[in-house]
Amino acid sequence: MYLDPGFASMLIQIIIAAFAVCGAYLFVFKNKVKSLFGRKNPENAEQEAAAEAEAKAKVAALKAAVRKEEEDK
Amino acid sequence: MKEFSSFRDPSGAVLVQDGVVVRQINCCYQKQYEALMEKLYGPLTAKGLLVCHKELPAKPEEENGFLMIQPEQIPYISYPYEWSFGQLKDAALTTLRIHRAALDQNMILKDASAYNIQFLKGRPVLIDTLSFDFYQEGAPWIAYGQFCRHFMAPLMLMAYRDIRLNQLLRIYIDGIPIDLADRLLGRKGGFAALQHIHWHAQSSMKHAQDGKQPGAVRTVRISKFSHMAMIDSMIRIVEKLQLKGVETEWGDYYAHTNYTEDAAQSKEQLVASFINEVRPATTWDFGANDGRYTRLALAHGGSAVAFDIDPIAVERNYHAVNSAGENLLPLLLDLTNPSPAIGFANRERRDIAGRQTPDLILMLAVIHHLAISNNLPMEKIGEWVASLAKHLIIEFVPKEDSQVKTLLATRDDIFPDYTEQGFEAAFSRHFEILQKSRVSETCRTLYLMRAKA
Repeated sequence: MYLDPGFASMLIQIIIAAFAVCGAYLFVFKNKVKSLFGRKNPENAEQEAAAEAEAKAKVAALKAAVRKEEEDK
Repeated sequence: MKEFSSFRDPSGAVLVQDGVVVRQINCCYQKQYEALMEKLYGPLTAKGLLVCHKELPAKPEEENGFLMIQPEQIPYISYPYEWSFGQLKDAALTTLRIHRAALDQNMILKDASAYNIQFLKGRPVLIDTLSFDFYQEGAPWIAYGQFCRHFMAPLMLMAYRDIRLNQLLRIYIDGIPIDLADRLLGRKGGFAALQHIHWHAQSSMKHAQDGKQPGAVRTVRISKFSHMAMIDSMIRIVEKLQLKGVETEWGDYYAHTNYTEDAAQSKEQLVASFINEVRPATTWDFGANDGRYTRLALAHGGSAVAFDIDPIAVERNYHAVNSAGENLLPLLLDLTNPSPAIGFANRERRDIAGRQTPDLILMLAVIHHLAISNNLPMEKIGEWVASLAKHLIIEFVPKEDSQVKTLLATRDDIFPDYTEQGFEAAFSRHFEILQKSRVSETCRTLYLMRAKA
């Protein structure tokens, strides 16, 4: 047999990465909606703020990486 | 002497010099190594993800050699088919986090082999310092397929099908084939399994014959942004994987032993006093369960391996070791069928004895399982154990013991020699009995023995 499973593993990453990007945006969007409409519980407020900050930082880091990538080009 | 298993890597080789593992880096890897040291080595070792090393003044003997390094030594090399679910999961997360950190510095982890991860004081570290390469613009993760075979597939099979399915790794040295994982997993595992196993398997089938078509497109591009998002998503998937509702025979063994707390304590003192006679640097505990007695061997500053047949016992022990950072390695092992040597020429991955000769072996409350449940002649057990280590602390559990009575309740008693005298006679052929003491409040006896030369 002359199978080439390596190429398939490369190809599938296009789809998986696309879902992952959507997932990352949804994650941030979900947190935004939560913070807009969710009832503010003072005990949880700190945790939520921290989670939102973390999500924002993740997206910022990803965006920075893309900018750097474009600059490098 | 060159380590046999490092024959695949053109970047360097692993050598053993006077019992110390060193790594030769070849000239072709000089740039990658320098980039690693400049940008990644510090943060990765600070987080405990990559093994520390020092550069040696001696230059490699081979012409293509650039540098020799000496990594922090791993007390006992272990393999993924010997790990519990938690160990495999933590090893997977270590691999992903290293690749993610490398991407930030425009580098990648080019290998995602589970064999490149080892445990140091209960925590997984990458031992292959030469696994890094430069990130190529738009390139997908070259090690993605390997990561799925070595980690994603066995973890999902263990979590959603059966905890014992990690044993497939013993057959498939380069990880569980994705199409096999897909068949076994069926529809379990949700969207994560759909992406990384099912679609992955379908894609592999569809493109299996691509090589035969002339001029087939062989390049795939994904942006770095997408690549990073994919790794982040994979980290979240692996973090969420859990063993659900798994109860096994031995999981809560110590709640159901026929030891009273007083008897357990006196057994502990007795074992500790025997260990003190040997003062071992390296110890193996066969049938270690949660490692209660294995820990006694650490008192002298050495390392220990706690082998057990039960995956839940190993899992519990691992979580305890991991949070305490003990120099103890819990591993899965069936004493009646221990890990063999596997791989090319049967020399890539060693059998248990080929990796270390311990100073001491503990076999507490395990002989009856071997001799009665598995019908192994005691003389043969003694012969095997004597070939592994110099000293042995062994507990003999007689037929009067309630645990043995349970074992004999459902089978014919074809073990006329299973008595204290019979045991001593069988083991005396291979061992010299140094000390012998009754465990108080029980009918069991503890022995300290030394193997005959």
